[in-house]
Amino acid sequence: MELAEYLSAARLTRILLLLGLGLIAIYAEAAPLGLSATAHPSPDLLLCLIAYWSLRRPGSTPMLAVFALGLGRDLLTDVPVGAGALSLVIVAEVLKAWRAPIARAVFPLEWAAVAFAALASAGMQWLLVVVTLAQPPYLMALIHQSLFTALVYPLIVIFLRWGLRITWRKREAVA
Amino acid sequence: MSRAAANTDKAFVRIVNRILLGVIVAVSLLLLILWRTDNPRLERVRMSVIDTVAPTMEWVNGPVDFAWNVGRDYKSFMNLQEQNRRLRREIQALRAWREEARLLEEENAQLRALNNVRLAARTTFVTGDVFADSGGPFLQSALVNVGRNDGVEDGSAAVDGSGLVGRVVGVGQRASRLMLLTDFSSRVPVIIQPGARRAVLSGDGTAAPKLEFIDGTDRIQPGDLIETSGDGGVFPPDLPIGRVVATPGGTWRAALLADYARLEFVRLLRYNPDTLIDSPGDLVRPDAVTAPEPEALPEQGPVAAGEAAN
Repeated sequence: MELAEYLSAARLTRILLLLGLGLIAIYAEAAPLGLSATAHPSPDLLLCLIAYWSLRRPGSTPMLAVFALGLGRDLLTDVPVGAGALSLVIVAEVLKAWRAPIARAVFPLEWAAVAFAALASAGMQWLLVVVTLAQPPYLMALIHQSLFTALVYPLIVIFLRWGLRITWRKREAVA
Repeated sequence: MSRAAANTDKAFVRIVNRILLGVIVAVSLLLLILWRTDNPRLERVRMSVIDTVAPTMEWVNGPVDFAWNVGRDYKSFMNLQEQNRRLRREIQALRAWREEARLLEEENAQLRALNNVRLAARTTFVTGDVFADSGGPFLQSALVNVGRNDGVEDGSAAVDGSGLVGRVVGVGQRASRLMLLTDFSSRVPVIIQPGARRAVLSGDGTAAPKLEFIDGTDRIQPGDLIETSGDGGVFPPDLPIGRVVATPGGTWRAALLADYARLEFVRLLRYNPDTLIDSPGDLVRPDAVTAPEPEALPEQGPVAAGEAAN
């Protein structure tokens, strides 16, 4: 990306849109849909959004914006502060690096990559909690949440692809 | 020339990104350490963020809640007939109890009047709306839309219509954070009735928290009532929590009375424990035994005595 594009108004608008959608995703995740310990965990909507945006608009997915959203989510939803934000930033950067092969492939491969990213993100948070000698959650609960996140991803794709018309720029991605 | 400039730009952006990633990793790890050490500043930052977003959060979560409730009510509607029959039976049983309770209340009031009983100050409460939960498996917590402005204090007990739900672990001006009884960090001193055996209720991420350090497990029966003991002065005594259940592994757990699945409103209790008598009165001075005999005291003049009196 060139410096002029880096500072363009269109990019700034896309970043602001990402921040707005990210905030809505955090709010939706935090909605109290049953507080029972056996209730289904909320899917990681923010990860789905960031994954889609990192693949389609990597230039408009700055690390600081991703970190700010992750940190906001950590503070609001009681994820260990810093662990959620760090895992989200790493997921975004890894997906940006995988962008070219995913752009060439069919959607199920992208879906599998995001599902793997969700699982890896949950695993990273679990590991960070274990390293700090805090009580980690049950691994099954994390796998359950990652599975739920993977199931929700196509819905996020439909909303962003056909609702907001954010599509692949395959020529740019493959180049 | 322009290609060279573009390459320079790309290299510059790449270097900036690498430095930024390093800074983000360092800041994240620092925040994680602060979280782990329960840093009060981090908790204050968390509560000020929650205070700031709480009003918009309620506004955005309204439609999500509405959609969720419609789905839940539809399920409930499907077995309406069965519910109706059950509720009629319950109403019949409760009518008999209501009459019994009224008579007991009258008798109680008369006996109190006869004995000139001085009642302890009542525990007051404020009711709040649960507008967010942790959503994930890391912590079992919830946010409520009442805070310091409404008289909520750190440690306040949270109850629903049936029993204890948890306690306040963070207070902002307009919102509070609750740790539920099911959370890994939750520990509540309890008393098991009948028999008044003490125990500690420990959350472990499951729907039925464990009963630990039980004072005599041999006389516990499944179905016994678990209440707060009031030890430590955090919770008022005698708040109902749940019923004892036995597990195949030989451990005792609590089936909670609070309905977490339908928790929309909670009461946060403002509790002032009775004055603790933890020191001897002025009449029995601790140095009375070691004090010298009166005749052994040196004689004091009027000035010295005056100074002593002052």
